[in-house]
Amino acid sequence: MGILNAQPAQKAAPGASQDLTNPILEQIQDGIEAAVPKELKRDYLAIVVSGMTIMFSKETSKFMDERLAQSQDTPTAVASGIADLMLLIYNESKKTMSIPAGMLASFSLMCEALDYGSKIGKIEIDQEIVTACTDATWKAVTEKFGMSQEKINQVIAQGQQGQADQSQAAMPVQAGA
Amino acid sequence: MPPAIAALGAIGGAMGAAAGTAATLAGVSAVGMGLSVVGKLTGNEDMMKVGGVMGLAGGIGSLATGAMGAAGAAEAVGGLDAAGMAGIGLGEAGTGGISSLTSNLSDSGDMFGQAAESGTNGIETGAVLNPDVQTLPRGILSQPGNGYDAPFNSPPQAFTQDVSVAGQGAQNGYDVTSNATSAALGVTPPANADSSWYRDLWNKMDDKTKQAVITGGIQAGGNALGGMFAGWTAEQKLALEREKQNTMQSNASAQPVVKFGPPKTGILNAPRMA
Repeated sequence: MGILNAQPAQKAAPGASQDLTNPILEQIQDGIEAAVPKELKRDYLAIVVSGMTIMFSKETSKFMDERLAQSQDTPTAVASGIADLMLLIYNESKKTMSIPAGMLASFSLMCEALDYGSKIGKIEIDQEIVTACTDATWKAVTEKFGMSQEKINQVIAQGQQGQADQSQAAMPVQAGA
Repeated sequence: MPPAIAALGAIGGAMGAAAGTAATLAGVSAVGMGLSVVGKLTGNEDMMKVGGVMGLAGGIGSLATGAMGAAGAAEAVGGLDAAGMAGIGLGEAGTGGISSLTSNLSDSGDMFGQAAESGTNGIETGAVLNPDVQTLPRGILSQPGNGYDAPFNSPPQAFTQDVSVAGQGAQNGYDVTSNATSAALGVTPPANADSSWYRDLWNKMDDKTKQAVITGGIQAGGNALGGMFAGWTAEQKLALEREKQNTMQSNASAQPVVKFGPPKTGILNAPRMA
C-alpha cells in the first residue's frame, strides 16, 4: 500500500486498514503512492489526509454527497470536486502546498471519491469511468491552479527542447568514448 | 552553464519567469507520472503515452533545476517503454489522439517537432536517459487517439507569476518541499479560482465545525504544510478510512442502494436525527 506500508507495521491494528476495496482503484492508488518521489512523500500524505478529512468527516462529507447527487455526469462531478478540494487545501495551507505533491494526491483522492461513490451505490466502477474521471480530474486540477492547456503544452515543448539540448551536449562525450 | 539550464532560462524568458516554469514543469511531471500509472493499470495506452510525454518533458525539464527530475523522468520512460513506444513512432502508435494536450495542439505537435528538429540537429530526444529510447517522434500530441480523447475544452486562464519572489524558495534549483512554496515559485491559482463550492462549503460551516476541520488536518497556525502535518501519520489515514467506512455505511442505509440490496429498515438503521 505504498506510503502506508512504509510506516511501522505495528502502528496499524490488525484489521484496522479498510483501504480501497475496488481492485482497480486500489491498484491505482498504490501505484500513485509508489511513484511519489521521496522528497514529496510527506507533503503527499499530508494532502491526502487533509482531503480525506474533508471528504469523510461527519461535518463535511455531506458536501461530497451533494456534489455526487447533483450531477449526472460522474467524471465532471468527481473532477470538479477534487479540483475544488485541492484549492481548498491550497488556500488553507496559506498557499504553501506543494503543487507536484498536490497533483499526485489529486489522483489518489479521486480514487477515494470514486470508491466512496461506488460504496454508496452512485458510481459503477469500471476502467472506462476510471479513465474518464482521471482525464477530467487532471485537467480540472491543473486548470484550477492556473496551468492552462496552452501553458502545459508550452512547458512540454520547452522540456523537450531542454532534453534535446542535453542530448546534444552529451554527444561529444559519447563520440569520444 | 549546461545547455538544458540555458534552455530553461530561455523558456523562462519567454514565459516571464524561470521559476514559474520550473514549478510548472514539476507540476506537469507529476501529472504525467499519475497518468502513466493510471494508464498502465487500466490498460489505456493512449493515457500512458500522454503521461509518458508529460512526465518525460516535465521530468527532463525539471531535472535541470532539480525538481522531480529523476522520478518523473524514470516514471515517464517506464511509461513509454510499457506502452511499447520506446524507439518507435509515438505518433503512429497514437492513432487516435491524445488530445489531452491537443485541442489547440495542432500546434503542440508542431512544437514537439520543432523542438526536436531545431534543438538536436538530428539527434532525437529521449536518448539522454535511456539509450533504448532513441526517438520521440514529433507530432505525437497532434495525432488523434484510440480511446483516450481528452480535449481541453476550458478556456485558458491566466498564469500567475510573481517574478519578484521567483526562485527565493529554492536553494538548489526548485525545491519541491514545503520550504519553497508554490506561491513563491509562481504557480498560483488564478484570483478568480475560488469556486462557489468552496465558498459555500466554508460559509455553511459553523465555527465549531471549521475549527474541527482546521485542527483535523488543514491548517495549524499558518506554518508550511510540511510543518503543520509533521505529526500526521499513516495511522490517521487509517482512522480516516474507518471514518469513511462509517460515513458510507450511514449513507448507504439512509438511501436506496442499488448494489447492495434493499435498504434496511428499523430503528438501528434509521438516519440519526440531529
